[in-house]
Amino acid sequence: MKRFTLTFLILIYLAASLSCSQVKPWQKGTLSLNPMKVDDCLIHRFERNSEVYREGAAGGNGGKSGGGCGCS
Amino acid sequence: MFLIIHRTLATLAATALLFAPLAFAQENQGVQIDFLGSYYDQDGDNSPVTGGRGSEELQSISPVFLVKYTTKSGWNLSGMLGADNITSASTDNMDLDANGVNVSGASRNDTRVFTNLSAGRRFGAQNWGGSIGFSKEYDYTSISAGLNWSLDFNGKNDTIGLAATHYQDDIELYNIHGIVDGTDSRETTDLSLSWTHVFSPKTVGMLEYSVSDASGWLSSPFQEVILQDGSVVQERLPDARTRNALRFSLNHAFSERFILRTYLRHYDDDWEITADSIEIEPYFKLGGDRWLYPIFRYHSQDGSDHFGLPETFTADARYYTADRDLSTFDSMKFGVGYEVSGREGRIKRYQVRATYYDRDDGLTSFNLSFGIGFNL
Repeated sequence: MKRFTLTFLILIYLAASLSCSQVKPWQKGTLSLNPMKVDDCLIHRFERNSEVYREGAAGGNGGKSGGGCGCS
Repeated sequence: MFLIIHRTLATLAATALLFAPLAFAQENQGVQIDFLGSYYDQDGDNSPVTGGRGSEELQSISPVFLVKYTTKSGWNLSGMLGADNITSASTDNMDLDANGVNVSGASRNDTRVFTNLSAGRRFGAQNWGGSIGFSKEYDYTSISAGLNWSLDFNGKNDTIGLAATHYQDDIELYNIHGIVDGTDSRETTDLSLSWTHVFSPKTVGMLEYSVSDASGWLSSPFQEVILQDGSVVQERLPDARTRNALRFSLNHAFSERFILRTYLRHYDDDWEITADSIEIEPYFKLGGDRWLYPIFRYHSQDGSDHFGLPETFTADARYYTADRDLSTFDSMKFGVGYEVSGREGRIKRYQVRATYYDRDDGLTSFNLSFGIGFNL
């Protein structure tokens, strides 16, 4: 069920991507705001690190999967 | 010899990072410096170091120093130096070694140091970059190298990206009696493919698929398993693991003062773990460039068959572990964050996040992290 939901959302993403018109540079003021960045903020790395090891599920922006532990 | 090379590389990287800001300031180019820090406090009663029974209490303090420099010719050079200082009560529950010394550190304290250097440059619509990294813990030495590439198209409304990182880890095998029982290695290769798309002037999304392939020594040799007959043995896990994850992020600005950040992630691996996560962060503008946001995260995981409660497995089982991180559970995270950017003066940005994490097997944790950024 969860996989179905995720697949469904991805299909919506793909469909929406193909159908949207191009956004012009002068229309991107809001997109330049910090919260609109798709990457995590700098200090989010600390939570990602602990989540990776406490949940045994790394990858997909889930933090590093090698290079030592630091978790004990 | 290999260890000497590692230590020399780490010393050179640390020295370069410490003196880099001074050198850059003389040229008055775009230099950004960020100091980050985190305090992490965890507790629970199912430590795998004591066979799935025992305290998981742990605190960690992690300072990180970042430098980023943009040259006149457009190169972005950056360096990172950091450490995790861990009061690892769980690891300290390893048996004492033959001399009665606690192998995890005389003061119940372990330290992991890590550094990373990277360089990247834009060539037309493309971005190319590379990085090298190093980390060291009392039983662990790791070096890494990575490459990344991205391409903008459709009027910079779409970006596809590729990234690859390879880790080479050397491990000292502390067994459940706290004695070094040889050495081994681990190799990990991470690959990711991402696609970022601007849907509208107020909506941006990202889809990312990543795969991680690890081989070599993948278990923690000091973690115990209590078998059905009461005997205590070292955990045993496969020597290879392939992990897949699909991430979907969507950020939408309902207005200039309210932005909703969402994140979905599906994960599975060949140890039969599957997991789904959802994160929501609604940002509220307080004025200027100050933002306040609550944090919510829900994670649901179906565990590996290699996991079992104490006294589940027999010695005949091929693999077994008491590590709850590989088990079935749900977890929730709540918190609040605050950030300021675009300030006048030397301090250009600062941010803070405080979160509480609750896993339904009893593990809880608190994390407080902050960052301050300067432009020279």
